Amino acid sequence: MTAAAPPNLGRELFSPPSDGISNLRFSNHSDLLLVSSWDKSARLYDASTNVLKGELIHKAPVLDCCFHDDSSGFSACADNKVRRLVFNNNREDVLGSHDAPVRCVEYSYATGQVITGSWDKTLKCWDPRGASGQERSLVGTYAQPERVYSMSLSGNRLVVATAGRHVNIYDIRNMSQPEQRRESSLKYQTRCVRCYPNGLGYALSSVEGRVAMEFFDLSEAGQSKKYAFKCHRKSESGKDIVYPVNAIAFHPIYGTFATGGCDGYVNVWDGNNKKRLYQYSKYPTSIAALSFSRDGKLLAVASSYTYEEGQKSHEPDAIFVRNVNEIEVKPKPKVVPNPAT
Amino acid sequence: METTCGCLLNELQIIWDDIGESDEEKDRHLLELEKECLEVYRRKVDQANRNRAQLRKAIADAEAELAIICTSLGERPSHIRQAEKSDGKLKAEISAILLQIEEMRRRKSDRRNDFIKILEAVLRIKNELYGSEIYIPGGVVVDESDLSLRRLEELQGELLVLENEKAERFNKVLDNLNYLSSCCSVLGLDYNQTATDIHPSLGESEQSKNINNDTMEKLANAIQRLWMLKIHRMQQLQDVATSLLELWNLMDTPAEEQQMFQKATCNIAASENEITEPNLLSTDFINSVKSEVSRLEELKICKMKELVLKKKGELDDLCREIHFMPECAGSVDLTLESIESGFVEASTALAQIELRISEVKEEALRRKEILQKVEKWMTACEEESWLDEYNRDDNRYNTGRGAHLTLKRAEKARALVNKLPAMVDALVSKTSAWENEHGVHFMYDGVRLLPMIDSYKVLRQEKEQEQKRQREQKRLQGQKLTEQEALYGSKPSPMKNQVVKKGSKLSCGGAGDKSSSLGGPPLPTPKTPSAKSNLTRDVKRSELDITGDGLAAFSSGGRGLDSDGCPTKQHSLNLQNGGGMESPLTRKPFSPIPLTESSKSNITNMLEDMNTKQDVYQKFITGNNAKPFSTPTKQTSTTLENGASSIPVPSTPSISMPTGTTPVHPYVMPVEKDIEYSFEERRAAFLLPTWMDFMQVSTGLP
Repeated sequence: MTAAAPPNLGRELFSPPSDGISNLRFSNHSDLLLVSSWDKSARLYDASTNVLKGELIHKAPVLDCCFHDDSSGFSACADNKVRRLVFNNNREDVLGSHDAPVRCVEYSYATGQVITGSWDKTLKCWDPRGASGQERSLVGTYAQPERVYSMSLSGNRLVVATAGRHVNIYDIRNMSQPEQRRESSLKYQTRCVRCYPNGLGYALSSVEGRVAMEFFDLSEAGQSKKYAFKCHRKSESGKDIVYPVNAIAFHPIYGTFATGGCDGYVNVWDGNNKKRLYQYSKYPTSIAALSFSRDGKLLAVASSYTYEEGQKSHEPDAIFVRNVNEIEVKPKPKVVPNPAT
Repeated sequence: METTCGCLLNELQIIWDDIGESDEEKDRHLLELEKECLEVYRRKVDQANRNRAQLRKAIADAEAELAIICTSLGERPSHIRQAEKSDGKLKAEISAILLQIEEMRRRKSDRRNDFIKILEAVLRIKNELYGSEIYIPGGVVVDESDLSLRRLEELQGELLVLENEKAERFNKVLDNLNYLSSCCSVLGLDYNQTATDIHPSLGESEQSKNINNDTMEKLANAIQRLWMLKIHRMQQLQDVATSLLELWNLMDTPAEEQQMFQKATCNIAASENEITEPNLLSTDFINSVKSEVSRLEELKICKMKELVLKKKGELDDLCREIHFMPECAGSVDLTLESIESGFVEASTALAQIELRISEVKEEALRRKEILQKVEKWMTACEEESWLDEYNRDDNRYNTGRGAHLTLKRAEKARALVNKLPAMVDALVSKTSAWENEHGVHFMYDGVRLLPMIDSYKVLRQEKEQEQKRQREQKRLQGQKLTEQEALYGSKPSPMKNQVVKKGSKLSCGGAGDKSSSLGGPPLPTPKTPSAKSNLTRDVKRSELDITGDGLAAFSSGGRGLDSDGCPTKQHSLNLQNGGGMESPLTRKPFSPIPLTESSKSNITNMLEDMNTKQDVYQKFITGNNAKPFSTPTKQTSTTLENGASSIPVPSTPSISMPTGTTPVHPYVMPVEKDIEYSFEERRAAFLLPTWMDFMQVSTGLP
């Protein structure tokens, strides 16, 4: 064995959160990166210059965040509150609150609404333009079968994954009831759900090292395309160790996707050709979140212990931004078998 | 009476007689008696007389009072006629008059009450209307001298007028308040607060509105103020909305984004009273529109900058294309910087660049003919220099791959080179003609073309002379050789004398050094074949490592080319040796798939192929462990039972093992509990006691 060079993990951002990273997202307009953390902060980084541009401290851990525009965003907080964050002047407005910690937040550019999912078994839609005060901001409350665990929005489709392996699919123009009610194809608790960039379906990962690729189209032809695969496992001297798949991120251009697991690996997959394209070097600890930048040239990786084994000492939380080579994410053309002559 | 007086007198006479009074005494007594009687009468008469006079006076007084009352009531005194008629009987008269007076007094007091009522009403209304300064707390003072009906009517008239005024004013106040409320709602102000500020009664219920002058004035002022504010805000909004519309138009903003601000823009041409939508003119709304405008403005500036950059790129490309060094390139840069600093409007910069582009395009048109010639000349020069190199290559006739192409090229180049002088001459004449025509030098990449050609000519001449010299030398050498041959009979190989520097490059594929001596544009270096082969090798290498870690459907594609390559190779070797060892760097989950199989069918990592591999794999396992794999672990067996079992993913059966020792993480076993929790919930429970309580309450956990 040659002395291994330090594995290339990408550029590590300065001044990372001091506790677990709950989510990170690239802006749709720039290389700004919004990061929410269990250390009660929401931070805004400029990933290209490695500068911490802003930080807002909450009263409780921040479980999710998303952008509004480049200088403002929304946060989902464990103090049950949904906030709008303005980083220019370090201001935060409370849009309203749930009855339990808010797990996920999404902003729809189409409707201009904020959608939040909470452990109080509801979704709520908010109008961030309304003046302060819940009465004005709250657009609607929609009961869910269980606590909301993950949520993804693509165009007008909203996929909500809850405890009890429920999956509700909404058309956000009509939130009165789900367009489809499904059960997860996977047998174990849902960790993450993300819509395909082409809007045809979603990928769903579970705590048991598995990802299901699902399609919205309910026809037989549409459903025949769905499948699931195993990943983030380790087989050690005949024993199988299965790791939760915490994060899924789709490449905005090629539609391939990266998964991150508690094994500290980030894998890139081509869902159409059912191939693994790339595996990056192992990160110090669990992959908590992943996000591609708007042009897919950067991949932000949150290497942060996700509490899968309870309170314990662990590697420091870190954010790595890596440059993505085309070869790592571009689907390889299907190999045509040699025409048997 | 007579009798009694006479009787008494007789009795007196008798008594006197009895007594024996003297006649004188008797007469004196009688005279006294008479005097006393007279006195009594006189007194009575006086008394009666006085009594009558008093009565008369009382009547006169009563009449006077009556007259006063009548006049004050504005009526003709009716009793005077009566008094004239009834002569004598003063007592009857006075009783009649007293009766009348009584009556009149009653009427007067009634009238007075009427007056008081009306006056009070008037006063009250006046108070309401004109404020408290004329309010008299003691009640009203009635002018007793004039209680006539006419006066009453006057007062009633006044009251009516006042009442009307009050009603009018009340309506006005209501109108004003309505206007105020609409203003407030449009402006996003608190109506109740505003109204209460003017007067506390205004903010309250319908009934008790203060309507005095002061309030009215304040109300009017407030309305005036709000109106001004509204006009101001409206202009503000309209200004902002106008710029918003312009920006939308400019940037083709999608309708969904516009939707949010539609109500701002649809009132762009509305007059003051047409704007009634609540909060339309509130500061919040205006600010939100403003922020939208500034956002779009920023976006616009961004886009403008992009556009400027693009246009500038276009301009640069154009200039480069026609080898025209724009003398004002600096100014374009300047505009770009000044846009960033906000010094110059992006649009003017854009216009400038557009102008430059059109100028350059015109320039291009003018230069086109000559440029084509220059281009031809350049290529000819390149060919010439290539030919020179080629001619110097002594291996040029060695047969090899592509040699015939080089030969052909040389042939063509020679023909071209022969045409060169004519070409140059034509170019010179054309250029001079052009310069004469346009009165400026023809510049090529910032250098004047004519001197360039001249220098080329000089160079060419030098080269020709050199060639001549070389030929001469060769000839001399040949002579010398023949002389030497004549002397020693041997001929040295010409190879030794030549320096073969660039020959190999030239003969290897025709991709020669193209850079001309005249400083033509640099060309991209051709791909070296070595890089290509590297690439293919890497691909092949990466195809070797196929995972067997339950990831049947996927093959690893391009791995890291440099760092991972070596260990992988080593790894495969290890595996072929039969051990399930792990690479410390990356790929731990290697399972013992026979790699010889997969490496043979190197790229076929497709599912179908995997099936066959799996067979091999299974065989391998069974062979290795000599155990059936009928007892898969809980986790791995799910593939078969999953809803997505139609998935064409071949389920990799796991190696059979005692479930007790399966090192599945404890957190992957939520099945055992009734209620599952995510890691985040557990973490939150650890951090937030309240959430722990919530969990216990909502889920009923102990």
